[in-house]
Amino acid sequence: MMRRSVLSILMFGLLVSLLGGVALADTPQQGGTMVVALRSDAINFDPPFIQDASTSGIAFQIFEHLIGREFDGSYGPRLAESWDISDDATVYTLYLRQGVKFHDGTDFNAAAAKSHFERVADPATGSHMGETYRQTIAEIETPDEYTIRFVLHEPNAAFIDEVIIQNTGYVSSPTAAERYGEDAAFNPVGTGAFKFVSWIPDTRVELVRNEEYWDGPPNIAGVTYRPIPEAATQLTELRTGRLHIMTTVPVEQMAVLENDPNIVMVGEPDFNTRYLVFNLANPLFQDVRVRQAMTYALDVEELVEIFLEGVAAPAKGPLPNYSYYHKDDVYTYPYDPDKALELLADAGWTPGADGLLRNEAGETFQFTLMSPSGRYTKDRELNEGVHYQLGELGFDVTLEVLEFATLVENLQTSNFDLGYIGMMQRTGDPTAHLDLMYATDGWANWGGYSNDAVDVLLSAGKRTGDMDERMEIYFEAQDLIAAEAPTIPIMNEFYLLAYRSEVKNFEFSVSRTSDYTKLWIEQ
Amino acid sequence: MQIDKANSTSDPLVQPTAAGVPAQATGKWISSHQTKLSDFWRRFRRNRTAVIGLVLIFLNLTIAVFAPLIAPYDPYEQNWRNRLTAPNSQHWFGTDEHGRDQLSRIVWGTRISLSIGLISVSIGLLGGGLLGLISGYFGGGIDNTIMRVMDVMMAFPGVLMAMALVAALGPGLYNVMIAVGVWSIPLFSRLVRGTVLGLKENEFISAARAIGCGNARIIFVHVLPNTIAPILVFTSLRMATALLSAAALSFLGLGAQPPQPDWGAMLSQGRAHIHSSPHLMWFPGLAIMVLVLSFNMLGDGLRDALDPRLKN
Repeated sequence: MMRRSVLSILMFGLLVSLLGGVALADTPQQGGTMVVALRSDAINFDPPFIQDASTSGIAFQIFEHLIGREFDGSYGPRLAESWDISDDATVYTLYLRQGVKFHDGTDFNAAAAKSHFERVADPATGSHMGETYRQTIAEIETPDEYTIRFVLHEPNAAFIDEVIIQNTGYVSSPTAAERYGEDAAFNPVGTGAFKFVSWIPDTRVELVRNEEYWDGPPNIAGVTYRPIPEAATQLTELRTGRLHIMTTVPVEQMAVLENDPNIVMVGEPDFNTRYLVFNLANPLFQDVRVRQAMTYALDVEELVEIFLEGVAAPAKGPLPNYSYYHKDDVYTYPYDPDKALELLADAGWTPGADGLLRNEAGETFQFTLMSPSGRYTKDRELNEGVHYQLGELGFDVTLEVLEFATLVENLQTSNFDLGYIGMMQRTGDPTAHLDLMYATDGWANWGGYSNDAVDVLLSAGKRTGDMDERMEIYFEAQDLIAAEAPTIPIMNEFYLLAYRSEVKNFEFSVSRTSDYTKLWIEQ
Repeated sequence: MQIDKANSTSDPLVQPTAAGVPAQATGKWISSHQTKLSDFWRRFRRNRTAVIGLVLIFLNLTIAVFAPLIAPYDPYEQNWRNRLTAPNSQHWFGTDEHGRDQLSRIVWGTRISLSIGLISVSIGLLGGGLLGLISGYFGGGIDNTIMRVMDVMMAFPGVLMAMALVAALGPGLYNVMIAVGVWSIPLFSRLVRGTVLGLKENEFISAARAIGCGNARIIFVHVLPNTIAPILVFTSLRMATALLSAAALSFLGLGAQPPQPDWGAMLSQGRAHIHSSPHLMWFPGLAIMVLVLSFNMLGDGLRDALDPRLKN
């Protein structure tokens, strides 16, 4: 009798504490300062001059863009609530949020925004983006207090990406810019969820929450950024609880972090493609059947699954999988060595007695595969796999592991056969990927691919303001490019980040930034 | 064709440079060939470490020659689903990150390591030996010129020079052999030159000259055979250094290119998995250690056996 009541009391206690725990986990706690590691110190907090990742990540908390990028790569409202794009993509009209104030009390309105963009464009300011802004924007109009209109020199459907969602597009207070002048580098004043407090170079940057933030103040009281260049030191500080967030996780350390119960590791999809590019100046690769065969010969899904251990997704088509414009059912090449051999036989290459592919003249299919080592996650390991699979099919392939700088030099001078290289952008917009990699005059078109139909589509896409119409154009371009296989897309790497388990409700934003307004720290 | 003896002996570089090498000891060696040889063999045999070194080298040579018969698997065959397995009954040394059998790779790697050692040391020996012979025998301006060039080469730290050479030639196994070989040239040339300078003063050289022998005959018939003892010792010790340097260069990614089963490269690739699969570093590391150690043991034994100063 006695025992039973003791047991029931215990059970009841357990139940209460469990429920309490659940309740606690659901209700965000207020306060606490979150400590975030930086790989390198900040440089200059004045938006016209922000170029580096560290400063950009901090500026994301202090400032806001007029328009933001959503997780899928589409656009979302920020300081602008809505916008209109003219059909020819030359006039962008943005309707701004009302009642927003900068941290120094200045009202945010169309005049403030205009003043900011004009300051970036002003040659006297000396911003690295000044030239781009001047070449893109013809005029900025303010029809009323909360409407701003950008009139462009020529149609540009990528305007939002190229001008607004840039570091230089973080809207800063015009009064602060005037008051501080060059000292604006140390006195950032924006509209964001956190206010700047202090910056002790090479030591720390401190932010405090903005109690008047238009979307409601954040849960945490503030953020402290500490520059810690050594990944190993970041790791130790994270594990000992002196850090809440570690921003760059070396893949080699993943196992250590995964086994630590106090640490949560997350991978954010990123707008990058790691791919193999054919040098089309090499007669061997001018036959589309050969390129297709080689694409069929590689088990890309297996390669990525085995060697990247979950930190990348197999690439599907020429555009990163997470781009808003990515065609999910794009023309692809599932692993099929038999089909590869068929295509090769059509192209005049058949395996001889020694297993090597030979043409009628008896020559082997000889070429070099160039890979960097340590530039991209598991690049050398992966290409040893590629080398093996192509060799198995009968290609007489040599693997050459090069310094990244040497590899790039070889690509630039067309001194390669098949090279492994990456493209990374902050945006998933096709102009930042396809235009560079597959347009005849694209600067990252290493293989010398040229297709008039693709060029026409890409330039049409850039000039089309209508999203649905653009989507159709880019879907067609992706299929066209994929069918010709000028590259073998391998994977889209994730951006890895680790944080302590007392940080709750952590969410990634896009482009390696994180929104700290909704998270909270369990105390 | 009188050689200016006074000049060459007053040369400050006459001092034998490789410590412990019996430069002046070889003079009498040729006179009682048979006794010397059996003397040497007796002394060598008594040195247990040297014998162990020799046996290990023979073992490695055998493995290298019969690699295809000894290796249980194809060293290049990848099996991704069977990667990073710990040593087990099927794969005695486990499998690497591509699922290749590590034992087979180490067996085949013996070939690479031994050929790097042999070829690079041969380059150093032939190049350096010839330069040293010419320099020591003729003396004067030729000697000065050759030795100053050697001095410049020796001014660079060895591995740094090898790295610079590989950077210029491009990464790869052959270039590493050349780089390590070139780096050995000044060392060999100094050693041989020192020995020749000592020999030159001997009566049998004067005698040879007196009966009308030409320079070439004196160099190759009378001088060269007498330099063999110090060269033998140095070559064996140099093999160890060459192996280690080549492994270091491969570790840095300058040497063997994937998928070649080079021990240094295997060590480097295993590094990423040191927490999860330490066997990927143990076995190549052990293989390098054993081979380097055996050459060092042999070299030490040879020196002891050939150095008459230790006699009595």
